[in-house]
Amino acid sequence: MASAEENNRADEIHWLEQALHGDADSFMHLIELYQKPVFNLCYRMLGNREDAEDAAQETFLRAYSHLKKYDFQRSFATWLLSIAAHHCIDQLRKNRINLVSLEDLVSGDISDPLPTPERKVVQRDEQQKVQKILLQLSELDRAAIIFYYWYDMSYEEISETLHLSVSSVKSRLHRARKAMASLWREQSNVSGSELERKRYETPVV
Amino acid sequence: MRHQLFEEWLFSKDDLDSEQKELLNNHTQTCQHCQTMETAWNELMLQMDTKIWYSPDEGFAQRWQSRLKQHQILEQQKHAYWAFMLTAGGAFIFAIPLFLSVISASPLTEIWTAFYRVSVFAQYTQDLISFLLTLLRPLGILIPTALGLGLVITTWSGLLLWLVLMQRVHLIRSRGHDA
Repeated sequence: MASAEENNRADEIHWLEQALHGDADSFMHLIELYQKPVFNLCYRMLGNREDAEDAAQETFLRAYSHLKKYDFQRSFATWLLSIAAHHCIDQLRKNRINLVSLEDLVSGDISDPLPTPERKVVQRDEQQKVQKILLQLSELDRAAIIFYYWYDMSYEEISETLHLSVSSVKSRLHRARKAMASLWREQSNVSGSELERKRYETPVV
Repeated sequence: MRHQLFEEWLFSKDDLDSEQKELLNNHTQTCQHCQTMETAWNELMLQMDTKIWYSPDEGFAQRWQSRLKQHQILEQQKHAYWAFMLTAGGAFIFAIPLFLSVISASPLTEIWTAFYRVSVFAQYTQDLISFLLTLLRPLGILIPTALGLGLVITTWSGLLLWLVLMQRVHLIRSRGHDA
C-alpha cells in the first residue's frame, strides 16, 4: 500500500508533467501547495510583506518558465526554495533592503497558537526582535539560518540549495549564530535599560 | 584550554561529541561571558523554535495567474520588438553606403558620380545575376521540379506565417493596451 507521502509525490509529478506541457492550471495546484513555505522564506529574507509577495510571485513565475530544467529526481520543494532564496539574495544585493519598517513587522500575519492577547503581544515583540536580527545578517548567512531552523534542512540540503560547500554552510551557520546571540544580548540589554529608565522617569506634569 | 575555543564550540553544539560537550559545560559554569552568550542563544533558540510562519494574502494563486498572463504578453511584445529591430537594423546597414554615396561635398559632381555609380552598380548587378544564373542552371537540372516547387512553396508559406504571427502579436499588444 502506498503511503500518503508517495501519493502526494505522485500527484506532484503528475501536475509537473502537465505543467511542462503548458498547462498553467496544473501548476496552480503546486502554487497552492507551496505558496506558504515560499512566501515565508521570502518574508524572512526581505522583511516586509510587499517585497515578499513580489519575490514569491516571481519565484513561481521563474519555476514555471524554467520547468524544463527541473530534475525529477530532486525534491520540487528544495528546487523551488532554491529559486526563491537566490531571487531574494539578488534583490537584497540590488536594493540593499536591510531597513525594515516596524509597521510591517507588527502587521505580519502570525498564526499564533497562544491564547491571551498579552502573550500574543509579547510573542509578536519577540518575533519582531528575531526578524530584526535576521535582517542584520549577510544575505547568505541569513538564508542558511532560515533553512536550518525554519525548514529543518540538513547541511547537505542547504549546500545544494544555496550552491555552497558543506564546510562553507557550517562556517556560515556558526558565524551567524554567534552574531545573532550577540545581537540578541545587545537588544535585551537595550530593552532592559529602557524599562529601567521608564521606571525611574519623572512623570509628566 | 583557551576561552576562544569554547566560545567557538558554544555555537557548534550539534557537531560536538559528548566529551567536548562536557568540557564546554564545565567551562560555561565558570566563564561569565560564555554564560551570557549561551543564555542569549538559548533565548533566541526558544523564539526560533516556535517556528512562526508567515502566509501570503488570500488569492495568491489567482494573482500569479494574472501575472503570468502579463508576463506572456510582455514576452511576445519583446519578441516582436526584436524582430522589428533586427529587420530595421539590417535595412539601416544596407542604407548607410547608399546614403553616404549620395550625401557628399559638391552637389553637381556628386550627382554625376552617383549616376556613374548607379550605372556601375547596375552593370555589376547584371554580372552578378548572370553569374548566379550560371550557378543555378545546373542546380535546376540536378534538383527535381517537384522538390524545387516544394522549396518555393515552403519559403512562401514561411513568409506568410511570419506575417500572420506579426499581425497576431500586434493584435495582442493592442488588446493589452486596451485592457
